[in-house]
Amino acid sequence: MSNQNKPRSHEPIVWLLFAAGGMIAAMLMPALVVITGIGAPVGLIADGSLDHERVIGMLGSPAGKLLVFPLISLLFWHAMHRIFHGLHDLGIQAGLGYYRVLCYGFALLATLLTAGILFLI
Amino acid sequence: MSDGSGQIDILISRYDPERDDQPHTERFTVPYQHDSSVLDALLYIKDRIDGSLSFRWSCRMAICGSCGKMINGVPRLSCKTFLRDYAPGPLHIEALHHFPVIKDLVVEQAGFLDKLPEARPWLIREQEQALADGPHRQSPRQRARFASTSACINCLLCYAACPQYGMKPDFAGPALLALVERYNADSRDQGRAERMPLINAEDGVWSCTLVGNCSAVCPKGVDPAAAINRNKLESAKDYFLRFLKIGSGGAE
Amino acid sequence: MKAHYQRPMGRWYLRPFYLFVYTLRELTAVFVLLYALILLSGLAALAAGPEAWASYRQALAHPLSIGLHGLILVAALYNSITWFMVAPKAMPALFIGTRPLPGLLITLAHIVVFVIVSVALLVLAGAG
Ligand code: SF4
Ligand code: FES
Repeated sequence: MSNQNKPRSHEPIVWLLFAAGGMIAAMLMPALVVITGIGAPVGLIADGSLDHERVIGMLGSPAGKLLVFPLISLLFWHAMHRIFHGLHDLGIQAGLGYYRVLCYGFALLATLLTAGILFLI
Repeated sequence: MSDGSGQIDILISRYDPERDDQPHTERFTVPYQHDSSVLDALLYIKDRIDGSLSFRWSCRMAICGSCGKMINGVPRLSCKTFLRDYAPGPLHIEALHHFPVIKDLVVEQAGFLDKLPEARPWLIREQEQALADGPHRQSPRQRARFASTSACINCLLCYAACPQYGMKPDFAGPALLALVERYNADSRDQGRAERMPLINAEDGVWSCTLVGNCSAVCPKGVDPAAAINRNKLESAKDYFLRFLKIGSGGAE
Repeated sequence: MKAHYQRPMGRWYLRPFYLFVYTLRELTAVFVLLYALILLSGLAALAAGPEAWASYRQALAHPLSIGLHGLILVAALYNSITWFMVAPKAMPALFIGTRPLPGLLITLAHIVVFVIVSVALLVLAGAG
């Protein structure tokens, strides 16, 4: 009776994106951070392999794009989902609906940007 | 951990609705032995020091679920928590967090009890089986599917551990959603569709952010956090697959 | 009848009861966001051409950037560990006969995969 009136939450949409991004972050991010943020800048990676042409050849290939797109965009969904819930956890009640649009809107924008740039490469 | 006996200081959060606007702390010193529980200390105080101290208890053996308190900030059964582990003290006892305090250590449980019917905590059959057809048979494997969730004693420690419930009392909460899972996982039950709307709701599994402390404090190993988060997957499936099949739960 | 007392939530997330299992875990999202932004800007630099790519690489080589990535790494590792710890709660229950599969085993399985994938990535990158 009373159960049947409960409106369905639309959270599954963002939760699935959050969870997929979480698995990527948990499994891949530490190694990726070591590679892109520490190893490569310090020069631990074989010479020449980070030249513009080589990287474009790698990431610009269909397979490269197929890997990079979910990687980057899902990290955004993962982070923005937690940040939105974090605002609620901080006790923010006023304007939470507005923050929801802002947070997930930002993730969507980043997703479109990623796709757009990959399209250009 | 000291092995023997001694004295321990206990700070108790007191609240008298007739006189106080908010709780204040009172200090008591009680003797304890190796086998003294926090409940024993409360009974000692009530019997010998201050008869006006109010708290709930019944079985003294971790099965009735009525003696939950915050003990040094963590929800615990006071009959299952021993003074020796907190010696030399002081030990701070408060009413269970997140529930309105009626007096001293007694809380209003309506936030849980009033929601119980929403879980449909009974076996639902599409068609009742005639008595003449005998009992509903269940294998040990089928029984194992709800062994842990059926161990709940409604002590509400998990609610006192859940900040989401604290911030949003409309949230169904850990024990209620574990109860939903207990019946859904029962091979004799056919009521999943009737319970789905509660799972799917904002106040159902979707208010949970998997803090996990509900499972950490549960004295019966129920693991409500798992019951809830497994149902997030179920709810997500239901959300998208409802377009393929008719008759799944939830008002649009 | 007088009113019940409703305790305010206050800054519950700073209490030790929540801080380590939850608050810090959620805070790692800020670092995930930062890293995603760094990757995205790298992608943009790549698309913009060789000069932009060169200055992006130069910026990443700055000691401040390396320090920041050190912080991001710590946060990422914390996120990984906590993610694997709750993984058994987020997946369907598994049983061996009548016994539930211990959550610890599922966590360990995730960690094993994590180590293999990480080593593979690092070796691949090291080889160029
Ligand atoms: S799930 Fe555990 S902590 Fe919660 S009410 Fe039941 S027995 Fe108590
Ligand atoms: S008195 Fe019954 S559970 Fe503690």
